[in-house]
Amino acid sequence: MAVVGVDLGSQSTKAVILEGDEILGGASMQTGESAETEARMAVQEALKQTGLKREDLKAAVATGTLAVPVTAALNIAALKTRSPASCIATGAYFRFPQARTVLYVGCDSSMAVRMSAEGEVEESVKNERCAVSSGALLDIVARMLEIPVEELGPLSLQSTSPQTVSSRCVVFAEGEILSFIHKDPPVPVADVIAGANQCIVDGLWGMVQKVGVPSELLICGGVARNAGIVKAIEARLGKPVLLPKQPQYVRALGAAVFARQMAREGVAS
Amino acid sequence: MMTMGIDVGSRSTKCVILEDGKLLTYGSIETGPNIVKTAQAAVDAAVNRRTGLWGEYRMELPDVKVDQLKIEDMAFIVSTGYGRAIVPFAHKNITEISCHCRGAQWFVPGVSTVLDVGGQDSKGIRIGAQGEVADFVMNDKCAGGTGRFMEIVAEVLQVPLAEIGPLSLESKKDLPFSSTCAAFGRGAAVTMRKEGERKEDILNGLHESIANRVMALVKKVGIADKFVISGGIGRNVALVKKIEARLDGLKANLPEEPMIVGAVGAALFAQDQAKKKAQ
Repeated sequence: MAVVGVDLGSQSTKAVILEGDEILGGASMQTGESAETEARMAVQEALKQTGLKREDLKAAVATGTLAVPVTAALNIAALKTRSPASCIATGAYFRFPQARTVLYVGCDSSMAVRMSAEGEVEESVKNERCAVSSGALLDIVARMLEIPVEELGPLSLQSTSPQTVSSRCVVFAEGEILSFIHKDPPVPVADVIAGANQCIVDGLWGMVQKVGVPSELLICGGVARNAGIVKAIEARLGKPVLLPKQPQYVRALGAAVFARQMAREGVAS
Repeated sequence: MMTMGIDVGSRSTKCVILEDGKLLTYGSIETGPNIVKTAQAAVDAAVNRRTGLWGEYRMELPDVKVDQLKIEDMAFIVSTGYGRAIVPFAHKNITEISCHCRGAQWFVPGVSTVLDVGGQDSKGIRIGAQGEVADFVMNDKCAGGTGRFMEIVAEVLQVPLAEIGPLSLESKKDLPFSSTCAAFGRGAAVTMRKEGERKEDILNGLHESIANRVMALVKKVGIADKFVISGGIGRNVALVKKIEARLDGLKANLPEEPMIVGAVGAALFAQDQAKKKAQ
């Protein structure tokens, strides 16, 4: 019995198809003007990897920053929305039940969740009013340096002395970083990126500390693909973090797990 | 006796020259990456009576030739603002809080509270009975309640900064601006435009949000009569109107040139110093 979880993020929309304990497919589309269209396209893309049809999907759960009702677009009768916090916790717990704290870092928002040994949300803090603890600064740095955002992580690892960014606001940090680039001689690119990472991680670490790390910490969300950010978090934690292979899908996976539960309950009744 | 005040702000640099405490001339330019050059250029702007940045002169100036004035003619020069420590020809630098306090009293005698919102910071200053700084608060950590936020949104909407105030007054719709963060403001404005919202309504919502932010800040020092608005926002009619609506019946006093308040304060401090030196 296949089900789908859809994560409507501010930059990309993800769909994960789950059957039992097996992840059959996953796809990500860039979020544009219509959340409905992208949700439908992401589900279609994910379906292509499975050989299933939309009619085979017995339930769907949507979550994310833009969790608008997407029922009509998905054309799946059993559709509900679940909170981002519960989807993050559930998605993390699915493969990493030893994780008790999850740090989700998206393009525009971030969240730290502490969960019970059973994967239930105990406490969560989010940051969506200020851009400093999100991927926003990475996008800005990538644009300023004209480097693809995927290359920022590996480049930052080459840094020998990260350039301190003192601003705690993305807008002001942008100006500060611009001055590093225009310095004569310019600050090495790796040190600029490592400095920006430090600035982001300062904010993120504050959130992690608020919920606490009783045992293992898992990092997910699109920004978790940045090795520099992960390394900076590990430096704060003092030990390795748990890192899913495709961390950007964790929230959609959590939604899919809720959909599976819905489908099972539906069958039972 | 001539004295000079130079206020090197994050976005614009202002230069004021006083002669025996009376305004002789002033000018302004955009702050460039090189503060030393910027400070020199601001002096040139003042002696040539240029305020390219703001357009028309609003204050009457004495009809005397000033274009031959030189830095050496000044009895004393005080610098202030974010770049105050690196003005090579200044004899002394004084914080912008003190200079705004002093300058506000020159424009509005008996002032109690000053709200100054500049390019990259906002501050509230409470002035005591003797004209001293009794209390102050400052936000220079977040761009949300500063001119930078307005700049970003104006740029997205392709409206010149000087026109966002008048345009916003034409709004007939209550449209809350969805972001309090200036970094997200860019995306929020783009989204609203895509949804077919009008520029004036977006700006109106933005001004509403900024007015709430800066009033929350200045309330920390206490709002009392007389209330003065200074800095770049003083030139934004829509924002001034929204601030006035939040003053519980108090009137907002607006200096004719709200952006030179700090520089005037610096020039007045320079005069004190020059007198002390002469004695």
